[in-house]
Amino acid sequence: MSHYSALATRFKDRNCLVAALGDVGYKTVEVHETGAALVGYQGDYRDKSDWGLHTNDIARAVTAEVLVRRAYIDPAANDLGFARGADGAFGAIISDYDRSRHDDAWMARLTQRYNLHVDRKKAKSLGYHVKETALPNGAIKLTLTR
Amino acid sequence: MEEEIEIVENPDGTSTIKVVRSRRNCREATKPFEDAKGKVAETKPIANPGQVGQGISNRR
Repeated sequence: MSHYSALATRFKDRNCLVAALGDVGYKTVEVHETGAALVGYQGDYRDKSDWGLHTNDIARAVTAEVLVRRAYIDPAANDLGFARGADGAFGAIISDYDRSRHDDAWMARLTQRYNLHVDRKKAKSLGYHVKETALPNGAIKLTLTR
Repeated sequence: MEEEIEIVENPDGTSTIKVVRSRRNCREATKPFEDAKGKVAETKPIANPGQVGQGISNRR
């Protein structure tokens, strides 16, 4: 497994994050209240005290509350995780090897989908009617009325 | 219809919110959506104990 790195995000709503991951192709997502170990393509873990070190001790493994297992990404991939930080947001934990597939453009797409789910949820809770329109540039416009 | 708000979610992950019609002031109308999505507007690397001072690894 290659080195894991973390990316800060503004994803605070777990359900919206899971839905957004489904939108970008990851329909099978694990959710763990207290976190689960991220597993690399060789079945090994990374040490939570040093994300570059291998360990076979699951108690020392880097963990995440929201995970996409490598089997659903690519046979050569490592698990993808999202771990809740002190600010309440889920930081993305991505191995360097997988950074080419989970690159900035992918994160932007995931963020767009996450935002849409948050908008819809908030609009519904506030009693708005929502109309959705896809724009030619890839943007999505929500028209909220009440 | 008393209120109409347009939200555009862009492919780069940014959002724009426009109040088309509202009896409230714009800030009151848009704040719930801004708050729901949080204040961090972009993804960025964050430190963890294992990566401080380390660059991209070529280890697999």
